[in-house]
Amino acid sequence: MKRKKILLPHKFQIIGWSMFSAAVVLLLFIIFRYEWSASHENTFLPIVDQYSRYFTFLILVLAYGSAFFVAFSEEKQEDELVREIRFSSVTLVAAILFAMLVLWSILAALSHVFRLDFLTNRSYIIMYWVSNILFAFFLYVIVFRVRLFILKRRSKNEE
Amino acid sequence: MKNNIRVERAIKKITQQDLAGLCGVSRQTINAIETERFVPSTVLALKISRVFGKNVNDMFLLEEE
Repeated sequence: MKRKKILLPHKFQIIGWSMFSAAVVLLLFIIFRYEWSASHENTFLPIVDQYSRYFTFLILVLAYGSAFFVAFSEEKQEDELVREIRFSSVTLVAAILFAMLVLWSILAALSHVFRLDFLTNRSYIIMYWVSNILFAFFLYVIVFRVRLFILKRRSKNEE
Repeated sequence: MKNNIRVERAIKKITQQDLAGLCGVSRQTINAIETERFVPSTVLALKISRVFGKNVNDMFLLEEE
């Protein structure tokens, strides 16, 4: 039975990891080259001047691109175990996000009732992140890669 | 579901890597099946049985609940 291929070929994963390395190098460069500005708390990365603004943009593009390629390209040997890990990782992430959303909603409601403003605000920020699709995507990438890493490490010396 | 892949491998003197190559899967998959962390699909179970020239029921044993 032929399976319909929806994943990118394995070579895209190499491109993805290269982009990730470049993003890390650029991030380290920007941290050491420019002072971390405390006045830009709302930005994802420090924006100090025009050059670091370009770097920030480049880092974000590289980070999103690498995550996409790493998550949606085939493994060297894409077999049924890897497919199973992919599917169960999606389920796991959905369960984690749903549980977090329910938990923080309850916490937000309770803190609102008892007028614990500091907790209410924090709860809303966490709920915003939990319901963010990009957060879910990155969580999926991390969960999938970690589970794959554990599997490979576990079976390394079990010959 | 129990299996005796490890025993059959020892009899046939083939490594996990060899078996993985013959079945078209990764060594990690064979390892996960041997250690009962992963239940293979029917297709893979048939492929593994064919490598050892045995019946699927002789390779994989359904445990009583």
